[in-house]
Amino acid sequence: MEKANTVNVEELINKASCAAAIFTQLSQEQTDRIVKAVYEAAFKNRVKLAKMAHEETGLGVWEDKVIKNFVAAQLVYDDIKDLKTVGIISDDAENGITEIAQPLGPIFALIPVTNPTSTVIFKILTALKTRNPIIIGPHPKALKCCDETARICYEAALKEDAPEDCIQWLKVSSMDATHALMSHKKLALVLATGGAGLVGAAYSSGTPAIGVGPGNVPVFIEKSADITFAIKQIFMSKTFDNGTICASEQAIVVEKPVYEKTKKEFEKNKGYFLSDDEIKKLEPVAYDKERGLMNAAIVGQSAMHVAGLAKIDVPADTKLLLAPLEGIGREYPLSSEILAPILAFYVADDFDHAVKLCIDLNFYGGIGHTVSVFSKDDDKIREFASIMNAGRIVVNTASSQGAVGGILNTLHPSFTLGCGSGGKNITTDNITARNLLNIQRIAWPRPNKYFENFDTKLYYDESLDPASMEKRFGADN
Amino acid sequence: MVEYRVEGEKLTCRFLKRMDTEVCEECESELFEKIGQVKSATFDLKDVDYISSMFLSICLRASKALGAGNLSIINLHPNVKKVLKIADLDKQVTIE
Repeated sequence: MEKANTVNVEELINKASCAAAIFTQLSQEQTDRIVKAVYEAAFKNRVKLAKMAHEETGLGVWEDKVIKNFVAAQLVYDDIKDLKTVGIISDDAENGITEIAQPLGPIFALIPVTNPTSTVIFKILTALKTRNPIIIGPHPKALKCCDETARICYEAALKEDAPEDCIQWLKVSSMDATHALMSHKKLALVLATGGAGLVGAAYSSGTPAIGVGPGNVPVFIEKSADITFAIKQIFMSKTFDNGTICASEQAIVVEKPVYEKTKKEFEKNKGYFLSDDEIKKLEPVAYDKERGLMNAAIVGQSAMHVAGLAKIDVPADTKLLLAPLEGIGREYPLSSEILAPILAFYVADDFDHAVKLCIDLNFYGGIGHTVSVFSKDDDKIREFASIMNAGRIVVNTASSQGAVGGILNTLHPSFTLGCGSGGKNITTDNITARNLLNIQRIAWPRPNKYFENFDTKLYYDESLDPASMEKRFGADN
Repeated sequence: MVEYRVEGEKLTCRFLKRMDTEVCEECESELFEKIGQVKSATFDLKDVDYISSMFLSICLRASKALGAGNLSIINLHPNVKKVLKIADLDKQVTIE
């Protein structure tokens, strides 16, 4: 464990390397016992850790953080517990390929302030399942709750004879140490969840990295949608933990024929539509134009609190602030990603117009992440999904819970959502244990029809064409 | 669990079973007492197919106590050799 007030990067890495070495000797059964013990410890402490995270960060709602911890412990465990991660994991006799799972080595896991304890639980479970030691790098404003989460997990792991130092964590915040760890030659992987700057630094470190980009999730309410259901889902998602999940809805795009009903449903559920003057008041409070980022002061705060900061009078118990906007981009700060109960709101003339608005939102800071659609028309849903650039297109679903996976669909439950090349990520997967393995392949001899009786003269013959190849080597021959 | 043989100022330790944490704890003090009396040592792991974190730590401490180049580890099981390589122990200890 890291000594107070200092970060000895060499010591951390050397200990992690020793843990990685010992891990290679563990069987699947031993590994699974460790993972089960850690899951049980995390599950038992989910409420305490949620309260700690809320108290320390001042973000979100502790009750919702309990649910996040539950997902990170229970759903992630259920998802990975039967996964083969040690030794031979598949044997395809027909094609002659045998796959062997090997660990990657030490992982440095960056933890965001918005979901600290749940992300720690998730990353530890997936790392241990794959026999990788992990070093937790908490956000500076979430040091204590991450410390406690990691400690609980580590003690549980040791009781099942996990390698010493298989879980380590930084007890102090240090950008120098973070960069030194990320670029250390003995580190196998950076697992980065955080702001765009930190994720970018992870990718620039020279160490393989799995990072997640920012989200700016558009929600398309198509005219056939069940509006009452859709708005309930959106409320459940966007107010969950005061909007701190990066897959939470950021903008509503509604087709004109269902605009009135949509507006009424939002108001019925305590959504408040801002006037132009109120939007002007909210913009500088919610968004720092110079830095091009949401303001930290409103992240994870309630709609009432945010309205108060902007000196906007809203009805008591307002849960969501909705900003009808005419455009998307720098001139419209509320069209950006804002992790608070604020939604941009657009009315589209028709399907094509709505899709074009969603493309603009998708490409304005959220490329590769998640989009959401409410519709009863499967063809329209498929058309919309094919045009969007998003790792996850969640359908008739609360976006936060839908994208995280395992709750409302069968995506892998994850607190690290890949955004593909659009988000400068290596994958669009919901990252989980299977992403933390080196897969070795034994390639048994299997003949290829072109090379079985290799006749070089044939291939040197310039008159040889695909038709004669088909005649000679086709399926009937 | 460990057989010791001293020839002059050289100690040979033959470990007779898997070196898990419990076994390491049992043999640790006697091992270092003997290491303190010699100039070089050889750990023979012919009968060892598993080593724990604590055994790695013992190797590192033994290497420091004896000085560079004075600890060698021989007769390694392939799995154990891989463990020592990943832990970078081959940079500090002679592995045969």
